[in-house]
Amino acid sequence: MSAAAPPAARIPTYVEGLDPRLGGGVPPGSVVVIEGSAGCMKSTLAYSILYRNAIEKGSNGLYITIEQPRKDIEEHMAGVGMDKTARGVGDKLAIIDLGELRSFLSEAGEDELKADWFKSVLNQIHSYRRNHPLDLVVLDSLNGLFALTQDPNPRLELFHFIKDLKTLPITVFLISEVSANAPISESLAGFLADGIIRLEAKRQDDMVNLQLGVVKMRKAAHDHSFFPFMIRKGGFEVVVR
Amino acid sequence: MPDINSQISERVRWVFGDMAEKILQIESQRLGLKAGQKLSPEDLERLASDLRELSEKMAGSELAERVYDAVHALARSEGEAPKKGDA
Repeated sequence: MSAAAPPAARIPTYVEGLDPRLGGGVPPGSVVVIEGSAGCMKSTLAYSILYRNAIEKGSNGLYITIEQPRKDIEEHMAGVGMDKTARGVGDKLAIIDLGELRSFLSEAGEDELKADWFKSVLNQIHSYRRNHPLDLVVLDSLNGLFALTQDPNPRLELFHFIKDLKTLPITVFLISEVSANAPISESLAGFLADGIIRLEAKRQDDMVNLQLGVVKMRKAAHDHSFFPFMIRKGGFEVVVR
Repeated sequence: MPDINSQISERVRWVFGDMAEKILQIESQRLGLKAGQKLSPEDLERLASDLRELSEKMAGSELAERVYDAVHALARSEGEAPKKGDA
């Protein structure tokens, strides 16, 4: 009888308390949606996964931002203890700001809405892989990409986009902003993706408390609970009671 | 053998995506280069510098240097390019 192949090493989220509840982390090669309302730390969580994997494992990450300026992201992340110039990060974490590209095209009189941005981002990721080592990608955000499409049926575009991403030997995190009370079942990207990490803000008296739940993670026996989610200098934690 | 514009586009697609051809067209126009015109090493050098400038805004100086080096290497393979940074 031949022994079963050992499972591929997981991609740790480095959220303290979460990885043991994910069987060690996210299965490699997954496409995972990180969703939540504005201010729930979606971008910060996604960036921290790239940042910590660069430092701890030497993984190569690419963060593609569609609307938020690169410099704002770098400053915000440095402010919460994730300085891109820190030792160990080096060239292992790249941020590409497509907002600058869009501004350039717009200033040159080009109609940015004529372009097929879903296809462009896919080809960019393929090309990046051919030119640089690449393990992890964050796309911030799906909403930004949707805003750039004039396709009357973006569901089809999203289907092909996620299907193509799944063929790549990289792990992808797609950030998706949803309204605070949006039912999870309404998330189209979540339906197509391998995993959904949901962040929610709960108001309690004069405080807003964040919660994190892993709603879905294919190939992983995971805990479905929502946990209090806290940021601390340089990382995150879920509080497991 | 693909033409020089196609070769440049392929070398910078990782930062510009499918907008690479359009970016190249806009930058070429700004430099007064005509479509289909054979580019001299000096033209390529100026293009490389302009693409580096845009890349720096998009991705920072480290990745911008990689863009510049990729186009500059093409300029070198096309003929006698000026020394890096001479443009």
